Amino acid sequence: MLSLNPEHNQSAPYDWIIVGGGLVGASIAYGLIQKQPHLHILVLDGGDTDHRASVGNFGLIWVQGKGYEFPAYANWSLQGADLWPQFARQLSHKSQIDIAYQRQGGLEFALSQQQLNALSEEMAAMAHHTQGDFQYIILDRDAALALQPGLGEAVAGAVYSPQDGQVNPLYLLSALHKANQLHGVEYQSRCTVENVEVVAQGFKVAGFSAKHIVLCAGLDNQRLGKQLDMHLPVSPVKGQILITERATAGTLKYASPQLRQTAEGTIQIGGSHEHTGLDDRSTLEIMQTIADDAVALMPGLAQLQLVRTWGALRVMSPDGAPIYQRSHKYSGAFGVCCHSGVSLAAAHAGPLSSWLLNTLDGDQKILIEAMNNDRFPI
Amino acid sequence: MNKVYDYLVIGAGPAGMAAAIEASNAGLCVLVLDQAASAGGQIYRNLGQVGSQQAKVLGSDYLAGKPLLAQFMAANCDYQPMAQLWHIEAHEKGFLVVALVRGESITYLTSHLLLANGAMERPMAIAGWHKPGVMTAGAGQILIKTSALLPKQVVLAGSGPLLLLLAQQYRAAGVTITALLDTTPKSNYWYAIPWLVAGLTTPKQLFKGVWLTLVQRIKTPYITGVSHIEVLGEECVTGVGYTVAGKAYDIACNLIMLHQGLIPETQMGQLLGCTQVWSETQQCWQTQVGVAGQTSVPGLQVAGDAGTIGGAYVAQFEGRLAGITRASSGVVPLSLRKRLITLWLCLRVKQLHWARGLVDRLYRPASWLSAPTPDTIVCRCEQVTAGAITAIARTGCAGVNQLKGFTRAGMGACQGRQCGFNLAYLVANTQQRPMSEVEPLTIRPPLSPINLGQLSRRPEL
Amino acid sequence: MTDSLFSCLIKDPPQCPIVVNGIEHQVPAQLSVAAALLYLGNLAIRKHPVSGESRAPFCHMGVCFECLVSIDGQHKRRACLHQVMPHMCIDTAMVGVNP
Repeated sequence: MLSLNPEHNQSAPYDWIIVGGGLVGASIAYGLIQKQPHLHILVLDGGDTDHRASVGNFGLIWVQGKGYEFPAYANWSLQGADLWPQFARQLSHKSQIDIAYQRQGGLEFALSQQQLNALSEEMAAMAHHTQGDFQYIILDRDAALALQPGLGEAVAGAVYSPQDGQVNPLYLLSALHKANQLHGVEYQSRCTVENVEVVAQGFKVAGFSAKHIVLCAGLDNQRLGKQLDMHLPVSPVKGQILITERATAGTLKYASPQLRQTAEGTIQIGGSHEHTGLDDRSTLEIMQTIADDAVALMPGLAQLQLVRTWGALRVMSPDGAPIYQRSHKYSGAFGVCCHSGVSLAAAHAGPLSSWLLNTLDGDQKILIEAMNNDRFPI
Repeated sequence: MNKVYDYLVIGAGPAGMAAAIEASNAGLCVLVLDQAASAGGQIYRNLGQVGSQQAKVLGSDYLAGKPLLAQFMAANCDYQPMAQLWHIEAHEKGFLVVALVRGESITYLTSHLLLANGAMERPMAIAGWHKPGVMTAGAGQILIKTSALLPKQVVLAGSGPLLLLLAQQYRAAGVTITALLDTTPKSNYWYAIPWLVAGLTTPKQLFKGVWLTLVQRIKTPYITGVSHIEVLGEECVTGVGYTVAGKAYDIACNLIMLHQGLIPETQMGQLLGCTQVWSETQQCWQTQVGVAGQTSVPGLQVAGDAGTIGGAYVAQFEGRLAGITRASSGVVPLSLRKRLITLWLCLRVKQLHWARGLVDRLYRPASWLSAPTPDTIVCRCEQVTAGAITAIARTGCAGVNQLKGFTRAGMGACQGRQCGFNLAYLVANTQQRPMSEVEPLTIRPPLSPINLGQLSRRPEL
Repeated sequence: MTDSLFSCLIKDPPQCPIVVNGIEHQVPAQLSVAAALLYLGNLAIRKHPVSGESRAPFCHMGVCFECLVSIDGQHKRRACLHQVMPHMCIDTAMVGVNP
């Protein structure tokens, strides 16, 4: 079903077509229309049961550890997290949807001293890359217990960063779609794109034409990128998570990639990193492993009922950092790949959409362009 | 966990029992898993234990299951009752099936799997259906069968043979039926007329059905052409409102039983990736099944109401067919006798399903039921209204799975069993799409609840 | 508890002692836990976690998940899938899980 903007003459080309209506595509559309409200933008989205990384997102706005080996990414991640509060306020206001954004800080638990030491090194690297802007505390077991009661005996310690946060990723996507629609962005679902054609005025896809095109199609970006002379090397990394019934509010005090309590009270438990191609099914062994780790972390979780499980395919580049690419051959074509659609939503709606509009310069531009595909050998 | 069964049957109803009997008689190593405490499925629930007073109320069709039950209990197969199946996945040896038995998660391996897990009531989402005092007609029957419990007074509402059967059983037991509100649209009778021919090929069932209908119409306060039913009351049911020929009426009552036919429980087939198709005739999704129960997944069969709604009689034949087919997929070819039996079973199953076409058309749910009022709660578990769902559907979302993400509908304890259909109807109606183009909710484990302690392998738990 | 809307079909069935919300009762031994609650006059058996409204068993076959009660300390059991047993402790208050 096409949500049409009656002010747009359907036969004229769009200013922008965004291929992919997930968190990346929706954030970019949001950023573009906020900055230049006169633009005619069309978002093309896939089918109801297509692989959608957005539906499997854990919901963390996570800074710690991201880019500890890649300074540009570390800085971009931190900048993105700092842009989130204003982005959340604005989006909730425009869409009238409560996306349950919180920035109370995050904990990553270590189940051994060795693990804690390794995390400590990563955090030090992060602080170095960001000239100390990234803040963290290494907690021993007692300190971790003081922050999060109920931790199991296996927990050796944790890393705390006040800059981490969480949000409801599904409501975030819903809010972006709604806000976009209210601002005249057009949306076509069940439109899986097979080919992109380069034409005189720009690009043609699925019968629509546009002057600019941004590929935000997740794992499909690699295939579509080739058609626009862009090397976008992404591959699937499966993540399975468990979701429990509602627990008492405040059971989990902080966000964590291992455990997160949603605004509804359910507890999400992550997660695996598997290389199983395009198979996103839940498997017994992984479910058991995740449960084992969860009750080791917090034994009290054992009595919680498992209500559902989920599996999704992360869109992973070779080094785990985003790819922001402009096509050198076809001016106006861009490719955006990342596996942190939630964490980077504010950055994508902010500086990245300015970069796409070519209104960005200086350090910001350099930072984004440091994350292009030059770093990958073909 | 090293034992690999030749045939694992899920469900000890007529189809499952018949399949297990055939396969174990052929010398296969068979396991039957069932969630109830005793065999019989829903239709023959508690058949082995009912006393004479219950038997008298339930009638001869129920008791007709006794020989099959006896044969099953005597068969040489493993049978695990009280097994709550929560996960199935493909395995290199065939299939891995995981169930909670007495609080412990047990894993079974099998080379071949039969899904005979039956059907459930079609959720009839009307305003107020979530209030205490509303239950399904099937629930009424289960209460007679397992608990020998009867309501003192009840309003029956809906359409379908089960509703009429329950009315008959309640009258036999002395229950006051305040009214039977029949929602069968008058136009259904016209559509059903050409199918009388099909119905006549099962004359006994046809005449029984006609007799049952006539008796209820005469002896029970029977109201036809009912539409737009609404449950009244705040904390619980105090009455029911309905419309007939454009005029509104209401009846005071404390208990309402609803029924709109049965739909197959397809979660297990969906979880294993079987192709699902939308049946316009039966107005439900069905696992695509070949004549001997084979699905799009090798080694996986479906039989009975879990495949196509047909009732106990045809379920038994389908079970036999599935069992024989499984037994014959070995190296030794079928004897001529077995081949003839198989052929006869195939023809009989086809004929019975064809005859069923009359019932399917006659009791096809009225169209107003797929368009609930905006304040009707469609997702009971997460309290999501039809209005909220329609609003998201209007934004052009791709389907019910996207809708689930945006509204939480389908994310609760029942995992879409009570709302999946209505979500799809609302998307289809709002977006002007045929139901055949709306994909059902994606199914994930656990298929029934399990806690983290039970799932974990940690020895101290 | 109100007057029960249900009665037992069997005359003089064997009885089973159970405890419901701390109070002892004798109920026909063949009842499911859900049926026992209906028999004793409890039409509503839990409060909905989102709306706080009262809910009652709907399907009695395990697919609606409305009949969730605590049985012998194990929370969120489907009452319709369990038969009453002597001295069984049933709790219908919707207690939040506190890990």
